[in-house]
Amino acid sequence: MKIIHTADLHLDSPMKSNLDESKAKERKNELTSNFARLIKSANDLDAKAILIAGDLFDQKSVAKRVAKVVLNEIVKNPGIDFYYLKGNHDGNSFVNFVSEQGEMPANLFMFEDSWSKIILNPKGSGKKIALYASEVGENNNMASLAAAFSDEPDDINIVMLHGQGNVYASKDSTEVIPISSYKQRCIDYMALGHVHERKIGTLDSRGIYCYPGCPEGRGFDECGDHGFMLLDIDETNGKISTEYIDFAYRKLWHVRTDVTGIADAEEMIGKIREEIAKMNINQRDMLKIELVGNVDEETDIDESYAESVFKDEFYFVKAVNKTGVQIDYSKYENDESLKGWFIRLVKDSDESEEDKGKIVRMGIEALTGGVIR
Amino acid sequence: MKLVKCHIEGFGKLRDRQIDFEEGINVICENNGFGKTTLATFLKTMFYGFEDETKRNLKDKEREKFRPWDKGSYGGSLVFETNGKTYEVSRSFGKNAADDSFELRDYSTNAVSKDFSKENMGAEIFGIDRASFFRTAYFASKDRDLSTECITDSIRAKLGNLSDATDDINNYESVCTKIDNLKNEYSPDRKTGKIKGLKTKISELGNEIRGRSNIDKSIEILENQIVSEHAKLDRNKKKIGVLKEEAKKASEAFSKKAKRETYDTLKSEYEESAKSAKSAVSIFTNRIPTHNEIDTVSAADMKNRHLLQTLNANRPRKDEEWERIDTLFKDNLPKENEIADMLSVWNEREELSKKADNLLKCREDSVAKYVEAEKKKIERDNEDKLKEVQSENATKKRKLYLFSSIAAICLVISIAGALLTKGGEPILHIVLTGVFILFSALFALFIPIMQLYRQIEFEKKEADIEELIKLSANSPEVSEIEQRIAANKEVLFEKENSVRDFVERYNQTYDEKTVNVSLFKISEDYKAYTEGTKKIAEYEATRKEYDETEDLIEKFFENVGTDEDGNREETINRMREALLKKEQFEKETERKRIILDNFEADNDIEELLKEEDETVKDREDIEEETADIEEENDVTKARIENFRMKLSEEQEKREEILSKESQEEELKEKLEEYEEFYRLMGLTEKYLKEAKDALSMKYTGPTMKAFKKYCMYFDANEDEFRIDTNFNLTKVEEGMQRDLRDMSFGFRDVSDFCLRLAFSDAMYEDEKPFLIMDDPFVNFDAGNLEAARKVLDRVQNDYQVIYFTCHESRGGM
Repeated sequence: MKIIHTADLHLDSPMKSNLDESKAKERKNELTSNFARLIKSANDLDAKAILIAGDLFDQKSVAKRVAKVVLNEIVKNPGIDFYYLKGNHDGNSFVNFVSEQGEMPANLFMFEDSWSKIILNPKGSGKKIALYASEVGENNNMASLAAAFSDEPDDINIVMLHGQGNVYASKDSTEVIPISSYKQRCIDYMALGHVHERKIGTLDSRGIYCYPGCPEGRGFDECGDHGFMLLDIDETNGKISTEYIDFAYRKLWHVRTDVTGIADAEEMIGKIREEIAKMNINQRDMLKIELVGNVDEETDIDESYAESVFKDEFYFVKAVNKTGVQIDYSKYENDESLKGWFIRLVKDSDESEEDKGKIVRMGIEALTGGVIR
Repeated sequence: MKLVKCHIEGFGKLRDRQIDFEEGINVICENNGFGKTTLATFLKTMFYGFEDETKRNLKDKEREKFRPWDKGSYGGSLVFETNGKTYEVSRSFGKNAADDSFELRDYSTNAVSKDFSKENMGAEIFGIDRASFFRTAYFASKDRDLSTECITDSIRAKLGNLSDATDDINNYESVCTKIDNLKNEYSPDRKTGKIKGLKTKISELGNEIRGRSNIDKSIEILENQIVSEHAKLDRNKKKIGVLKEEAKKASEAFSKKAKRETYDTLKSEYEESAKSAKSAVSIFTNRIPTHNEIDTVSAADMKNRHLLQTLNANRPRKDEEWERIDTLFKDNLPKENEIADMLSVWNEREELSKKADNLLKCREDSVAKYVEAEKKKIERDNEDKLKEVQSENATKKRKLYLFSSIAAICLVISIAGALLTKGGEPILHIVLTGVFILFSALFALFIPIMQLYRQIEFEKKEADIEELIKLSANSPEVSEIEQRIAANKEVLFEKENSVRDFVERYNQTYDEKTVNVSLFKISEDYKAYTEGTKKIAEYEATRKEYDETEDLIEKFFENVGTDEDGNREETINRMREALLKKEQFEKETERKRIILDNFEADNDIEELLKEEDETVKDREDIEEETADIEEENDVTKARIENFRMKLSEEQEKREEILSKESQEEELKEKLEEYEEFYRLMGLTEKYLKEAKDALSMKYTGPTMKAFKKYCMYFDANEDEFRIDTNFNLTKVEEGMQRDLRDMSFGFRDVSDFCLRLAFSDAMYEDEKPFLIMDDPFVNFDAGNLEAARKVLDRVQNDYQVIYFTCHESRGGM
């Protein structure tokens, strides 16, 4: 049986940061359509169940149109079972919406704030695949859940939780999933959610734990590949083989470019291209070019130029100048010009080295009639 | 500091050129294009090397600019004196600084010297960097035509900025202005300031964003309201569930009741039917017969009724006639066919008689013949009359028999009628019968009397004929006939005797004339007798059969027992009907029993017969309650829809606010950037001002002193000149300081030249550098040129001067 493990879709997320109104709207729609794409992937991969380990939605109050899309997709795909565990971002809004539409779809399963056990392959002839999941609510916390957990050793046991995990937690915490507490509990796979970056670790000799990360990055703090986990479970021997499936429609990339020593803007563009070439970047991706390194006071680093060069090559480009100004003060030791005096004064000031560089660059730009930036 | 000589291996357009320098003024008078600037750069480069090249474009790099065109060796050497020592510096230039070679030797010993470094030799010798050196040591000519204003400015710039006209202090004011403008543009205080604007915008956004908490609260309230309404729906759903359960119970109870009623009805119908079956045969007190038995007894009954009718109809006659006949034949039955034989005998006798008659006739004929003539007519008449009478008598005899028979039948009918109508009028019957008999007897008597009368009448006539006959007896023919008559008579007699015996045996009077009647009578009597005995026998047999059947019927009735005492046929019919009814009822009962059994099999009768649950609500109440809840649900759903609509509006507002938040974030980021920019601008301005003040402080005094030293050669009153911290030179005229830009070009050229020299004096307090003058007096008028010469004379005391000119008139200096 194949199962998809995903989490943190954050549907209905505003997607406003960095993007203008039109692109923000477009991204938001793309994020919503990710749910349909996910189901298409499930069909393509012949997955029979999708585990959503929390934060399906970004807001506790979900827009009706988004809830409608999600419900329609669930209803349209009766061959796939959806196991939706609410996360800290999820509220009752979706459930309310579903209630208003009638009965809960037969292929949508949700959970309470106590352990629920569902057999994912009730008609299977081999080992049972048991899914255990619980929300964290008023009646429990992560520590009490860990204490209350029990399963059948002969089953293929999957535990689904939403929260920050801590492998090395030595003492109980109400908010953190004490992953170490689930060791030696006959768990084959811990399907976790909350952490937006993919993370897989060994639980014990039998099982693993996994955060699949969010299936689509939303900001430049969620750069690179994003996708979901595909579990292929052999019901005869109970083995689970996992595969990471790259899924994100648009990826965000942090293109950190060291421009130390460049002489001009073209060299800067060249350096950026070199960095882009090292990454597997698609035209529809979003880039944040961060110019770093140290340049001398007379080298003009114009990040807006980089933006203008790359903006037509990618969906979104943002460039930031984080270069430092490295001044060879010795050059100005004997400069009896205003500039020389100015630089020496700055050098001897109490300003921070970073500020000194910026002040010198600004002063030089001012004195040389350049554009002061 | 003094230049001794230089050898240019290759530098720009100059190749393999040796130049020796003298103390004081070295005039190099060459045409334009000789490479004056190249030589000047070469000299500078020998001391300082090429300037830092990392940031420059290829075309701007001095290294490339002066790379020999023939691509040959690039570099040269310079011999110079400083601090009492003579050095030879050799430099060759490669592709970049790393490829450059540098060598410094003590010229007198040719030993490699480490007194100065490759990179900083110039600065180490002159105390200023290469740019400053070049700015101060290089006096370029100015083309007045380019800009009348810039000459003064450029000179002043060289003085003040220690740089080219585009640099430094010359720009200070404009830099200050630019920075001021920028600060204004970014001002946090001015309305038009970007920072102020951003802050205002952020503040406005903040105000709007602050509304988010209200919207979030509103969304939360709406979501809670939706949840609450949903809870209501859930509660109602549960209620409806309970009501459905109750409805189910009510329905079950109703169904149970209906079933129980059905059961009761079925049971009752069954029992009723069974009872009916039982009561249907109540006619039987002992046992219930079978249909066969009933059919048998019915058939027997019917049979007996017929038998009785037969008996009644065939009851044997016990009348006198029967007594007579019975007496006649009881012990004297004629033999079989005896009567017929007698009739035959008689007929034979009759034939014999006829024969006799014929014989007689023959005799008569013979007689007739005899007396034919006379008596023929009489005899014929008599004979005819006799025949007629005989014929009539025969007819009358038949009538008599007919009447006798009718009388006998009437008699029988009368008797039978009397018997059958027991309860009727027997006397009337008897009377009528008597009358009838009497009438018949009279009729019977009348006929023989009439016959007798006619016979007598006939016989009287025949006596006449006898006479004739007697007369004819004598004839032979008559005699033969007589013999034949006698023989016939004998046979006849015999036969007649036999008939007579027979007739008399049965009490009949023998009369040959009535023998036939007697025989007929005997025959009739015998017939009556045989019929009567047969009838009696039949009657008796019937009677016996009747009795036996009656016995059977009686036994049946006794056996089944019945209180019925009416008509037996009707009783039997009722019995049959009862039995049929019983069977019908039994069939019906069986059918009902099967229905009942099926019902019992299909239903839990024990459960069905349990007491009714009193708590079960009425179905109508439940339906009413359900309708109320559903109505409430409709209201709730409408409320939810309303909340949803509001929620959607609030969500849209939240979207807008989120958009504003992101906008605010961007603006804050921008503000931070602007503020940082503004802060750095402030600092830049501050340090620029400090630098400018320090620079001015250092150079304005010495520069003014040196300027005064040189301006004396131009007949200018040194006290009239002032210099400010911006190295702006002013001249006091009529009590007012006037900017040099207001002076004549010539004066400005001279004063600028002096100011440059003054500045060099100020800058190089100890080791004086060599000065390169590139035709600086090209625009000087004769007067000023002379003054310039004087100045140069003065200058050469302190400086070695490399003076380029392309004009002999100036080369004379």
